[in-house]
Amino acid sequence: MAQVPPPLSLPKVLVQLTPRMHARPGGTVVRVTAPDQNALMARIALGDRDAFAELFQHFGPRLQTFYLRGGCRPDQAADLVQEVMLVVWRRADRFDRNKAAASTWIYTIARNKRIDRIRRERRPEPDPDDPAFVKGTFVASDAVVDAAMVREKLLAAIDELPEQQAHVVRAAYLEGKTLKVIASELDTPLGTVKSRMRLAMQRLRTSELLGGVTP
Amino acid sequence: MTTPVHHLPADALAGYASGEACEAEALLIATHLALCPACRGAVAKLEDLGAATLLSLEPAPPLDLDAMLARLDDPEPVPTVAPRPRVAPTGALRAFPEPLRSYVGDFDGLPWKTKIPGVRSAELGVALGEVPVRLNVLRPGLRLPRHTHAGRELTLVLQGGFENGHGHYGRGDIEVGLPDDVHAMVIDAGDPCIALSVNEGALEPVDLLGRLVSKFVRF
Repeated sequence: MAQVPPPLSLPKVLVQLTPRMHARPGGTVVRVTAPDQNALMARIALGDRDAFAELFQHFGPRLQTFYLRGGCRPDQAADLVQEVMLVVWRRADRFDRNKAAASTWIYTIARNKRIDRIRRERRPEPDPDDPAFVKGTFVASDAVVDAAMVREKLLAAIDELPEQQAHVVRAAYLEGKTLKVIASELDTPLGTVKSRMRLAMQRLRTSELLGGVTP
Repeated sequence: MTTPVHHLPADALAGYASGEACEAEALLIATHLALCPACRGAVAKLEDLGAATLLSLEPAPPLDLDAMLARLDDPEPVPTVAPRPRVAPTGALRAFPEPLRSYVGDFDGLPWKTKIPGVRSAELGVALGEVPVRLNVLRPGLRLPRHTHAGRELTLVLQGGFENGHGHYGRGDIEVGLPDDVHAMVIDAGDPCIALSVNEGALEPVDLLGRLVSKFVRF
């Protein structure tokens, strides 16, 4: 019997990460909005180095933390951040704001860089130009939301998980560790860590945050 | 064009979006994504979640802007691992969307093994980590005995189909085999069934015939 996937209505919260106020430790507040990011990306695509410098100063230090938490040495992390931002610079003209937020695009570049440089693996991806590719659209939202709220909801949902599951989700998502690394750090069998991740994702699925993520 | 009925489990989608999935798992997941707009939508949302976590990280101290700007005239960095060369969708390869087609390469030239009648299997790729990726070609009408799995196994149907007691699986569908699920399979009549499997653990057969089968195929 055919099951029809339910509509993918993720809370609008996650769909676009737009005007946001980042409270930074030390009290200064940096305002970065998605429209700003799109404008920066458009200027970068035309070769504007000032626009690039602005984007680098916003994302660079966060990417640095991303790689440090993933277990990189500081010099290695700094080098990876430069590589990611160099890709952003080189491919800015191919960035399509209708497909993803600039922050999501940059996140995927950083993620793929980690797979390539740290794990030394390929990243298999579908090819939309392949004749066998099944085209279709999925529901996207242009809702404007507050990233601080996304963060709160995310952390709250993770906090509600049993501690062992929460630990695995934080390590995999926030620190970018592989399940294998997490298992060896915990001195726990990989299968156990995998099943914790599986249970955690099942629970998050029913939470508001990830509701509807699974078709 | 019909779209799949049986989708990827949430943790597999999350593993792909976060980059945690190994290349073997990612190959199966990405090939399902090529056939499934709904799961692509889910991955896009999970990538938004990844971006939200990135932005929620406490920023490191400001980085060296001059060192960054000095690199802007460099060419784009070359990947550490060269991508698989693209292969045209001709002949038997028409069943395989990218990225799988590039990993299959020469379908007839794969190291096929027929150890029980009706089932041909070949391991794909060489350096896909510790997780084996296997392409299976199953004879139409074949019945496979009851068996189970030591670990979870994801199977993606590429051609033909089968029935496993939980439902029918056709092109693009994902079957999730779990350790506590003892099941038999019946392959559809018509075209041979071609399926890709990634196994997270060894097969644990529950009867004599299953044990025999396990020496040759993993399902």
